[in-house]
Amino acid sequence: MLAPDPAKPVLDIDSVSIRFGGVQALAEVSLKIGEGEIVGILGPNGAGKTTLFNCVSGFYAPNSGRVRLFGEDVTEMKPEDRAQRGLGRTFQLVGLVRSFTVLENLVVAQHASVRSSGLAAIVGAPGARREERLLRERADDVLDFMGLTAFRDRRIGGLPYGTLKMVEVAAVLATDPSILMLDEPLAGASGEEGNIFCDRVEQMRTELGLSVILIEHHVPLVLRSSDYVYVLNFGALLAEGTPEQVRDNSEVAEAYMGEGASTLA
Amino acid sequence: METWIEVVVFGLQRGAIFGLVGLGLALVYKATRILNFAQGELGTVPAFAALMVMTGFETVGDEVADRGLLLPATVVAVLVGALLGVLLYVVVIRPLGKVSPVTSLVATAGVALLLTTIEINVFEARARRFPRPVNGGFDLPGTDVIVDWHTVVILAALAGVALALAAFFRSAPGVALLATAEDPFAAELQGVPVERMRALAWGAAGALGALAGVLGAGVFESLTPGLVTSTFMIPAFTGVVLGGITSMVGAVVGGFALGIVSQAAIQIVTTYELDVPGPPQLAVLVVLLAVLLMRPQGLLGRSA
Amino acid sequence: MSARLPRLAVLGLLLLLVLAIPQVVPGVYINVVARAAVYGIVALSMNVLVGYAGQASLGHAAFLGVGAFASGYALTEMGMPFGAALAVAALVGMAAALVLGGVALRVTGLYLALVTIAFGLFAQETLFNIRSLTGGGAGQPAARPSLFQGDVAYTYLCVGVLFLVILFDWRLTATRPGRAIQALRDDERVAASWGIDVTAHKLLAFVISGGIAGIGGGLFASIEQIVSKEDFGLSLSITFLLMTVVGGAGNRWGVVQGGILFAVLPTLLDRTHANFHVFPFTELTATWEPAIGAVLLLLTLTMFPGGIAQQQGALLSWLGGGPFTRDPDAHAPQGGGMGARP
Repeated sequence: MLAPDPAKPVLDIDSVSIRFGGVQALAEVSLKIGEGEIVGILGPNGAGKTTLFNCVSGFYAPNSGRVRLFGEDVTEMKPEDRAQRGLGRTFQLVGLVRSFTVLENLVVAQHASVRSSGLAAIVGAPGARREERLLRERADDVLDFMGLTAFRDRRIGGLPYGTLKMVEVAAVLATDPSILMLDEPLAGASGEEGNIFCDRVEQMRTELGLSVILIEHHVPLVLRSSDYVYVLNFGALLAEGTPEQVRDNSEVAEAYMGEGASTLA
Repeated sequence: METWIEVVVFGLQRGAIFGLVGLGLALVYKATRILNFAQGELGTVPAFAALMVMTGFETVGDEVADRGLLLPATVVAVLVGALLGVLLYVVVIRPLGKVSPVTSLVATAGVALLLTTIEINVFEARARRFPRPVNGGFDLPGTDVIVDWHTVVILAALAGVALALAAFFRSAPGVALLATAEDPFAAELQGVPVERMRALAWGAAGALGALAGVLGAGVFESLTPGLVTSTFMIPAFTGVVLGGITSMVGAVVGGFALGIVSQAAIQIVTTYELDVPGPPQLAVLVVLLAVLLMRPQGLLGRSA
Repeated sequence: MSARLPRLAVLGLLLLLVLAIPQVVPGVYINVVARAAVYGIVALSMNVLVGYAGQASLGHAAFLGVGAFASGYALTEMGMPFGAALAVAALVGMAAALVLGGVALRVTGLYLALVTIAFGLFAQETLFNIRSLTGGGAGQPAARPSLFQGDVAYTYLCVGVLFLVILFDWRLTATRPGRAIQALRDDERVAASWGIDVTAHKLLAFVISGGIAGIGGGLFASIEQIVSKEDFGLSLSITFLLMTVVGGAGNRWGVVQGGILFAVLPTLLDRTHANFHVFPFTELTATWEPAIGAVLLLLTLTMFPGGIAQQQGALLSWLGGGPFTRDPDAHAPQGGGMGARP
């Protein structure tokens, strides 16, 4: 296992700003994630967390600032090319193919890793068939890792919300990312499920060698699982530091709880 | 020079019908966010109703339409149009529920097909003579260009309808109608009868369509099943997109623009003896692509 | 699996039934069977765009026409053999679809639907009127291949090609390109976040659809052995859309049945009327066919969004090797552009 190394960032967000009409959605936000690090992003609704994800994954083009992936400037790059470089993400509203089964979603998510040509696959060339079988096996492995094997052949349309969020994480894991950006993975989950997920994120780091960025409303959970925490408010970085430092930051507490609060319990 | 004046004059005649059809499209879109492919048949069916009034309710005979009955026939047509619009909303659009804009377009295309088929089976697939309210024309001062009185009638009708709509959207029910489109839930909470307002919009679009049908049949002085759909719908669609899909002024301006552009395309092909078939259809496709690729919100629409 | 034998027996019986049809149908109606096979092919072409990729197409008659005229031109003016002419038809269909696909990269949803309508009208009024390519009003002759001169033989050829296209469609959805196209339909951003090249696969969907429609057009041309522009109007485009939606967008067996249904409906109405006089209308004949199609469409959209395929859910599931139950989680196939998404 790799020790977390913030000095060698796998993802470097360098003073990114973006405006929508008259609204400054992000103002010079800078953020670094080291290899094998778990970073949490906190902030009230509308603070710009998801906007930041969209800038990083390439759905929004920032007005200024750069995004670097493994040292390479990807600011102008298409989302799919960033994904192929190992950037995986989930969506606030579940990002899955609804008419497919769970397994099929995990298979299509591995799209970029397939080597044989589409034509070879359609005519059923032996190499392509072998590869198809491997895709299924890998999908099964990921489902096993996420504890979702029971849902393997269920269709997305019939699954509860909390399960969908987990299936979505599994689909992104199937893309074999190096960096995983999770957007509120625990929306609709119970406290118990939250704890299980925390352990699983830790496993992703130790067993899969992933670097993880986590947006989540459940503050104690973020503080528990993250190595480093950034706090956004009104599109700007309000605070950053270790979970302890952030917990004791009175500005952060105020942004969250309103006046009078001094610590985040 | 005079040929080009002719192009403008004739273009305005066609464009005014495009504008009338377009106003119906824009009205329904504004109120229910549906692009109504059946708007053309909301014109043809009432036009046939008018024809029946003028021929003593003869469907397949060769009875000549009595031009003296055109005014009461038009009133009947407008009523039929309004009724058909409301019926369409209640029987098709409301049961459809919340679907994608393309799905509702497909559904209304089905309605257009249904109505055209009924027309063919009731009135036979042939042309029937259809009168204009005013025959003849006058010389445009200083030129040899003849302007049909019918063009003046259509322009006057369009102006009247446009003014009525403008007044309506400033009145309390008009504002309520817009509110139901922007946010049906909030409108409901504020006591706006959303369902009734929508049915009203479809009824108004039907009445508008009827006017377009009667005057449009007058343009050709004949009426065939599916007439408005096959001759005016696609340019009207394009005109509405050109004008900015929710803009009433845009629908009229876009209609005129399409009328003149189609007419100019025909004139260019004739003048320069180009071997290009179907110039108006080509022109419409070119305009549509140009607008959508360069200014998708249209000339007068707000950007999404 | 214990159900394997009965399943294979039923499938074999169905296949025999299909193969027997051209033999038992009276000679005057044999071309209707050929047309049904071609409509099945067109339905699969529509399905790639509407069902899998979630794009609207209200101008699909244009692709059929492009293929038909290309094949006719290759056969008559260039003296090509039938197979080569069919390949030309496919290529020309692909090229036309690629152009429309290029537009679809920038223009989506309702606006794309409008573009496809305008494209269909342009094809009918401008493209198919270019005398040197399409023979103008006289039409373009399109001979049949020497091995399939007879009506019955030619019908078998059409049915054979339909089976090949079904096979292709099955392989497409079972493998990477087809899966990627379907992923785009639901959400382009999600697909992109999985590393799927959105632009390439959208264009691919158009090209595949255009190619299949082109082949359908080539076969269509040689049914009557003459192609004329009147065959490819807006109402045919709408019929193509109806059969796709009524069949069940997204389901290959559903849309093929939809295609067949709409191909035989006019003749069926005529014959039923002539033989039984069962209808309350005195003149309910083929001229009412579009109205029946439209009513089927409206019923499908308002009450049975999955179309024919959904009604046969259990049967199709069993024939495909699953249990004889409708998939409880399977909502109506969300044919993208046709889907319930606002």
